[in-house]
Amino acid sequence: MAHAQALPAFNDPDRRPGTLTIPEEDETRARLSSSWDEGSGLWAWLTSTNHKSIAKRYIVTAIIFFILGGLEAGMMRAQLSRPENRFIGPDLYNQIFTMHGSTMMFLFAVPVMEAIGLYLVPIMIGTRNVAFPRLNALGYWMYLFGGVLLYVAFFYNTGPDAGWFAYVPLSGPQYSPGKRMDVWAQMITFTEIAALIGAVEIVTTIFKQRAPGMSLNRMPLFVWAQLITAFMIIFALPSIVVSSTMLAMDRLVDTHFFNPAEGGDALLWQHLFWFFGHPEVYIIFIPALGMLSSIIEAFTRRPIFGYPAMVLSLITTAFLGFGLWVHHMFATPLPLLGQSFFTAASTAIALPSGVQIFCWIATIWSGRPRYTTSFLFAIGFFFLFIIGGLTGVMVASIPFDLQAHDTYFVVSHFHYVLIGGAVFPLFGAIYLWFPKVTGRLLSERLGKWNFWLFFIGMNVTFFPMHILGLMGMPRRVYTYLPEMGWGGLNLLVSMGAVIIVSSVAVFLANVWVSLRAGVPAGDNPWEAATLEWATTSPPPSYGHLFIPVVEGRDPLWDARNGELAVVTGLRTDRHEGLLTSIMDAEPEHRYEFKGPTILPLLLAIFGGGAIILAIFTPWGVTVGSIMSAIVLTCWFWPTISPDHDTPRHRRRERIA
Amino acid sequence: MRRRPIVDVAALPDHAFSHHAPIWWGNLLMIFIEGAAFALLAVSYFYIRRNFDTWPPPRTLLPDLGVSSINLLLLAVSVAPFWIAARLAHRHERPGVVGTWLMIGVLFGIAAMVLRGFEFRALHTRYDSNAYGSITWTILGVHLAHLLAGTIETLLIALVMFVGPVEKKHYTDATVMAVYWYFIVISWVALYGIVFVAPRFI
Amino acid sequence: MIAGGLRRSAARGGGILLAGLFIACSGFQSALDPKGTKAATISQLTLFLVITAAVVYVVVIAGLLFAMRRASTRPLAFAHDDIEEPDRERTRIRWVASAAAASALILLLFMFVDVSAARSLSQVGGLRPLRIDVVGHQWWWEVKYPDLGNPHNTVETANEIHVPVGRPVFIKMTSDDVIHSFWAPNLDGKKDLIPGHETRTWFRADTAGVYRGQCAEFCGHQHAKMAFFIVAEPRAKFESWLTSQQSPASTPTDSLAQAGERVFLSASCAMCHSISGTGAGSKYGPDLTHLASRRTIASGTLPNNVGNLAGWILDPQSIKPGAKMPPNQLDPAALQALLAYLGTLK
Ligand code: HEA
Ligand code: HEA
Ligand code: CUA
Ligand SMILES: [Cu+2]
Repeated sequence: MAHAQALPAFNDPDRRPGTLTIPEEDETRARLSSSWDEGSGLWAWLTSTNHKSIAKRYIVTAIIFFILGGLEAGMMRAQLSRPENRFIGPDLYNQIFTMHGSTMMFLFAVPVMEAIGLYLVPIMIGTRNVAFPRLNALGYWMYLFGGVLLYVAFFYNTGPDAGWFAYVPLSGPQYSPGKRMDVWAQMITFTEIAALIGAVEIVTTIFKQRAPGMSLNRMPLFVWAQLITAFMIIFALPSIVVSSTMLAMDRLVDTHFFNPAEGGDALLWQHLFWFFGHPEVYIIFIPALGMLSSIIEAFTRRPIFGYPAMVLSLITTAFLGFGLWVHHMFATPLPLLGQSFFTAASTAIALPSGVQIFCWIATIWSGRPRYTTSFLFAIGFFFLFIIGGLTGVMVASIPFDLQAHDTYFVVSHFHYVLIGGAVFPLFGAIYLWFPKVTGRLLSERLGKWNFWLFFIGMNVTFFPMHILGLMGMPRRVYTYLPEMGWGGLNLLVSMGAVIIVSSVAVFLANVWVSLRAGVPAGDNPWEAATLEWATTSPPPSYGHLFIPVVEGRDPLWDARNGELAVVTGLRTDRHEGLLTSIMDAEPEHRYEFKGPTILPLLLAIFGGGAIILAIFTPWGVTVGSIMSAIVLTCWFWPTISPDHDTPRHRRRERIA
Repeated sequence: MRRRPIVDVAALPDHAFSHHAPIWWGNLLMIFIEGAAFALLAVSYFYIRRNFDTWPPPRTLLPDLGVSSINLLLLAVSVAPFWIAARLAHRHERPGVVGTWLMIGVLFGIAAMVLRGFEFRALHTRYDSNAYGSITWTILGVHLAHLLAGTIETLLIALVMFVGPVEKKHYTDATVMAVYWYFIVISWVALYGIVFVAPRFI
Repeated sequence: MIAGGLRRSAARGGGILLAGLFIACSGFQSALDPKGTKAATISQLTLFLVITAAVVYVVVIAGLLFAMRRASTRPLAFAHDDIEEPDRERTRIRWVASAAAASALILLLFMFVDVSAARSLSQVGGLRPLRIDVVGHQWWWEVKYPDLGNPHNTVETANEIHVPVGRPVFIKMTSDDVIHSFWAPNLDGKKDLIPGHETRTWFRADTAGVYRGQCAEFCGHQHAKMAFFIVAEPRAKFESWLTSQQSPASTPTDSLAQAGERVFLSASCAMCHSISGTGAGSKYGPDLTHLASRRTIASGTLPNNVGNLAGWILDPQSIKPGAKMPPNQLDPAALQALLAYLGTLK
């Protein structure tokens, strides 16, 4: 702390009156641009380490995967629209539903939530880049390669076909010969690396780079949600790292983790998978809750009611989320007492969700809402998510779940929570932040169509599935017999899916049109309170011209007299940022961010090549590791920056 | 929006140690991730145990304590050079000195890896014999990967110290490297207990 | 206006919910048409859960709509300014806290009801249970009625389980390959069949009838067509069925069927299937000793009649693509004979 004493506490009132003068803005702007702008062109694109450009591609890539996953859903619905349909056979159907589930979970939902965090968190907390910019770029490339691997394999009829949770022994060497499941396991490897990188970035950035004055209890709820999610990723993903590695080894080098004949255990996979898989759904859901807080705060024009309760609820949800995994395994032979514990935990987790919902309702009650498309999506969340949450509490009951498990009732539950609880907030967030990212507003007229079609289509598609499930329709069936009596409802469901697809089409059209001819947004079109609205739209490469100083939870509303407190003295001739203390965000020291480089891409190519080669020969790992080690050496090797400051060494000092 | 400057940070230092430094956090989070993975491997070990009547499985000898205990001791001692290197780095000692201690750490790492080779033999099973062999080999192997990565990283930092140009942040790297090495050693104490000692009691 | 639209759709949702439950209340593979003790208990629990959840939903949504309505009467200014009024904010705190408390109580009630229902279902009730062993295969069900006193009397069959009405049935299950799940919703919830594990469950049919069940855990290509039937019949009828199943297959008497038996034994059939009393003893496919007494073939996929059987034998892959049974090239005469023989396997 020695250096902190060197200068008076930053919010010391004595320092405020005009002792500091602000540097010439235009000049600062020019200098920052010349050191931060990465230029255009292919090379600049490949070497970028700016969190904004990386997060933008991340988001766009994730949405492309959402569309691919949605098209797969469309094919499934076409096949299931009538009994004994011959549109798609079992071999292809099984690939398609596995692709749909894996795409939506691993390539769309988790990455899109993290990517939005990687875009917004640094701007919202007032810093210029994420803590480790090159690592961040590596994360994106890994994610991209994982997704491309999966789809290339799929188009060569090597798509995985054992479901998104790939139960062994079905996914093991004996019952899934060929490369299909190897592709799946390696796609998992790619995406888990990417997700873990994102989590490390987000935690470190939030802990160390908040604007002066943004103590933990002044952080926007969106940032809290991202922080908590990142911690969940850090503790949940190792479980899929371990299990997918075991699966890959069973398949490739004849280990016996899951082979009952040699003392392995099929249930071990289920425990390991769901110890990751359950937190995974909250990893999708919690950032969405953060988005909702931003939306509701912006459009009711009041701070979210019950901030401490909101934060505590998020933390409680995250903790409880690690104690629920067995509720996916109620039909397996486990002692009743143990299972009952998981019923209790699964029921208990409804309480923090409920508290947040009540707080938002109280916010709306005392606000003055504007029914923009973004806010409509937030309202839609309440109508849909609560249905899914309540069916979640129902399936937490062991006896009821034994009927509902692995039927369309569960399919309905998780689409209500995933679409209602995550995709709706995501759309709301896109309508909220699109103007910030692109500088143009999305069309409200198309937006209303987007919303209503989605809302209606969603219910037409997924509500009847509850009934189908109770009528005995199992999930993951490529067809069913006419005498089962499920034909009518399935046709209805498929028609609903058409409505959803048209809604997403309207959305894409809206993006297309608005990018070209949308109304220019200005800095803060919604008069919202958080720091991302203090900079221009789209934000410059360096984020904020001057790092803001935060004096309350709603900096821009607090600053309505028109003055934003800022920091001066950061160097503009290099990528310099300010580091602050973890709890109170007191300025501690200055920090240089790494600039653009091709190394992340190279590392992704060699490391990724190793992962892909490993599908074919274990030696792939060896070769790839050596190549990666070389790249890593360059990565860590010091670059001679013109003004690098060599430390003064004690010994020399003494001599002098 | 008008801007009101209230803090000038030009005088702040441009680097810091321990939890003031982002890299320290990045490293700690890595340790959480890998620690969680080790913990899950340990849980899997005990889970698989339940499928066998005897442990180790019939016709498998108990793992030898000889070479594994030597390696444990060796790793325990290896903490010393890293600790010293970190202290010196913290005091901004001359790079050559820090680098030398790091190189001693590297030698320990190499020795531990060589012994690890014998430890695999001391298991008296193979990864493809049965689930017992699979999990024990995997635990040793994953830890070996950490040793390898840790040793290479240490070597790199030591080389930077010798060759330069050395910046202040490389001192932070050296201290962070030491933290990572402590993690490697501490996790091995637990894993050694599970793989080599526990079969005698469970 | 928008609030109104949302309110209308909420009402619509409620209507659909009730209508939906009504539709789901019938059907021969339905959880809401219970014909056994356990399914009956579960369906009562379901009703309780649905009604409570619906009430919670209506109340919370009503609260939301109320809040939207209240809010819309405010002047269009920064609401930010008047949240400083501590009185109003305190009222809101009280409301939120009571809503949370009420939720906690309802959740505790859920926990209590869930756990006590689960406990009561785990107790086998009534008479000495009948024991049946079930083994899952890709994609059919092997069923055994072990006779511990006299192993020769152990009955082996497939895809059709006969049980006496009113007597509990105790099932021991495992799988020969991948994970499957045994589920006959009219009688009970599901239970997984896991290789390397033995799972147990029990149920009791209270009404005579034929109940369809289906594999519920994804198990590969033909997971969709891995069904079975449970035939619940009065005790006497069940006993006579069991006795008839205990006898080996009767030797065919007419010449066509005799020829058919030779076809069976010489073509590839005998490599996978067994018929007790003949040389065919392979356990790879379903036991066919009493094939003709079963209602369906191909795991509940087709009614058991000559036409379907012929189609299945010649080309199983077009009916269940991926099934483990290969197509068979048989000339018409051989097929006729084979069908005649299979028809005698009552
Ligand atoms: C965003 C993702 C998400 C979310 C938020 C949830 C939330 C919940 N889920 Fe869900 N779930 C999934 C995604 C999600 N789930 C997925 C993907 C699967 C299937 C995976 C697969 O098999 O492929 C699944 C499956 C699943 C199962 C296994 C079913 C089975 O396979 O048989 C269970 C069982 O307990 C369950 C329970 C719950 C519970 C109790 C909640 C709770 O968190 C819900 C809490 C919320 C509320 C209850 C509503 C708001 C609260 C109030 C308004 C307060 C008042 C309420 C009361 C008094 C009740 N979920
Ligand atoms: C976030 C996750 C998510 C999302 C958004 C969805 C969205 C949808 N899902 Fe998905 N679903 C899962 C996650 C998700 N699903 C998971 C995890 C499973 C389990 C898988 C498993 O069992 O392993 C599953 C399983 C699943 C099943 C069960 C399959 C089975 O068990 O056999 C079904 C069946 O109807 C289904 C349907 C749909 C539909 C109709 C949508 C719709 O909402 C889709 C919306 C449509 C689009 C997004 C398409 C938009 C496209 C266009 C507009 C075209 C534009 C054209 C050009 C650009 C040229 N899903
Ligand atoms: Cu057997 Cu699904
Ligand atoms: Cu879950």
